[in-house]
Amino acid sequence: MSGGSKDPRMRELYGHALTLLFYPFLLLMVSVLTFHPLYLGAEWVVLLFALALHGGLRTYARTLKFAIPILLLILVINVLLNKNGATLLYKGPSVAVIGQLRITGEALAYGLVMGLRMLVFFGIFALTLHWLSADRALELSAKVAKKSAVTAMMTTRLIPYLSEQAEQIGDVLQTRGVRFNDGHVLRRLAARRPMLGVLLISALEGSWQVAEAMEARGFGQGKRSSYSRERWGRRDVYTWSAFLAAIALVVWSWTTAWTYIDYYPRIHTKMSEEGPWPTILHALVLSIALALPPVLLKKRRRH
Amino acid sequence: MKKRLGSVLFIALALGGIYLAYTFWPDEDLNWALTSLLLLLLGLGLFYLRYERAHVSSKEMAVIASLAAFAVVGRIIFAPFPNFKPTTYLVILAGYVFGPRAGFMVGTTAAIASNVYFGQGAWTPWQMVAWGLAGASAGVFGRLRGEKVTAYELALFGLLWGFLFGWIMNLWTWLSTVYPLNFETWLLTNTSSLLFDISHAVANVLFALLLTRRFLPILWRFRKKLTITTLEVLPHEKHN
Repeated sequence: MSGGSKDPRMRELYGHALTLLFYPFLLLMVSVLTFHPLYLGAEWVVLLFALALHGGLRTYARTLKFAIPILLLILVINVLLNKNGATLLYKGPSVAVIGQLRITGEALAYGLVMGLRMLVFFGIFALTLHWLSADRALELSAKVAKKSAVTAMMTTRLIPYLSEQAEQIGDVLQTRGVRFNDGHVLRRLAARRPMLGVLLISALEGSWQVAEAMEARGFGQGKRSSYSRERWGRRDVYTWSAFLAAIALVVWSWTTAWTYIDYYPRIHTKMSEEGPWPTILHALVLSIALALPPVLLKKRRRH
Repeated sequence: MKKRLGSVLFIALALGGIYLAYTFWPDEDLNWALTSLLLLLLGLGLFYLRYERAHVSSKEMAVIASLAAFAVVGRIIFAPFPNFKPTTYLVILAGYVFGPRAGFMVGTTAAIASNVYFGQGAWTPWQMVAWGLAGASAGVFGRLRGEKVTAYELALFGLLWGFLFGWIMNLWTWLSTVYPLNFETWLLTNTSSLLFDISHAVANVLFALLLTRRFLPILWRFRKKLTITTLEVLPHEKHN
């Protein structure tokens, strides 16, 4: 891995792009496999730790702005529409669509835990966004999906070019008397139509030139040559060992049912049968295995 | 032949996996958060596999990339109008003229590129599926109606996709965080985005009425240009 890379994230992080992509995927899999608040809570703490360690808490806070209405919605739907719980908290009048209002402790717990799951989802995506740049993700996908990755790369390259052209077309139209911001909404929308028309023709004509350039460089004639900055290192080996340990712990929990929880009619877990400690210990060890990769992949600053 | 066999085996394995999942965890015991995530990844993977396996010319790739970039830049041009973006309608038009495969690729690529520029959201894979399916279904519609289509028909198609897009985006929230999974909970989950869905559908209708008459002939003309093929030199002619 090059220390003088243009990607600033690569200067702060060890690890191959596949390692950096697999970690959020593993967290996502764990979060959809279990409904247990202990595991989801532990995963959320691990995520907050990873985000804090790599300076991504601000990114997470930004994404949470969009999460709040979703969290409220999850809570409201589960609490109002689920009538399978046994512990009655409130009984009210009949309401259209919802039927009779019947709020139970189990439905409230389920709504809160699912809100926690949503917080975990948002954390996972914030972490992915924070430590793996789009360029590295596209470069990685080019290894398995060559044509699709080339298409996506060409698109990202064309966007600034077309935006610049759109600005120029807008200037020309304005000098010819087109007013983009005058009149009511429909008029303002229609005023932009010629701009889009010219841009479409220009983009399609441009695509012919791109295709010619691709042919001239020998596109489609045998295997595509490529250069990758991604290197496998010692840290990747350690990190993948932590991944394997976490996967083994999750698989193990299937046979022991530690991650299992039933919400309805009453909350039932393995903890009520064999005491809380086996589940707590398992969740703790799993959390340590999941917290190791962010520590292993962090580069220390040299003073 | 080998490649086709590989794809068939891949689909058979996936279907076998789904069948086993239903057998082991019937009815409400099935973990829908996991199943829907795996089905989504499988669906996207199969579409991409089809694109990778197909003989896609450099011209077709460049056209797909240009149309996807155009759809994203359309979003920038209409930035002063919140919730009034032409992206979905431009994906539909691209799919209608260039077919389901190109439509799907324009939709998914526009979703990826758009998220690269405007910030990757948690719902990018669902956005990819929603726009991809809008483009692919428009491609199927295009094969049925061809050049005879009117702006009103495409407006109706856009209206439908305004709502379908929102429903696809809400699907994962519903499947992974709501219990029980029935019509009432589905309805209430979608009610939360109803205003956005209505404005999305209205935007698609408006853009269909504003753009179709001018844009369709341009796109058909480029499609004709795209179908011009180069002739290969026969082996015995190579030595002359």
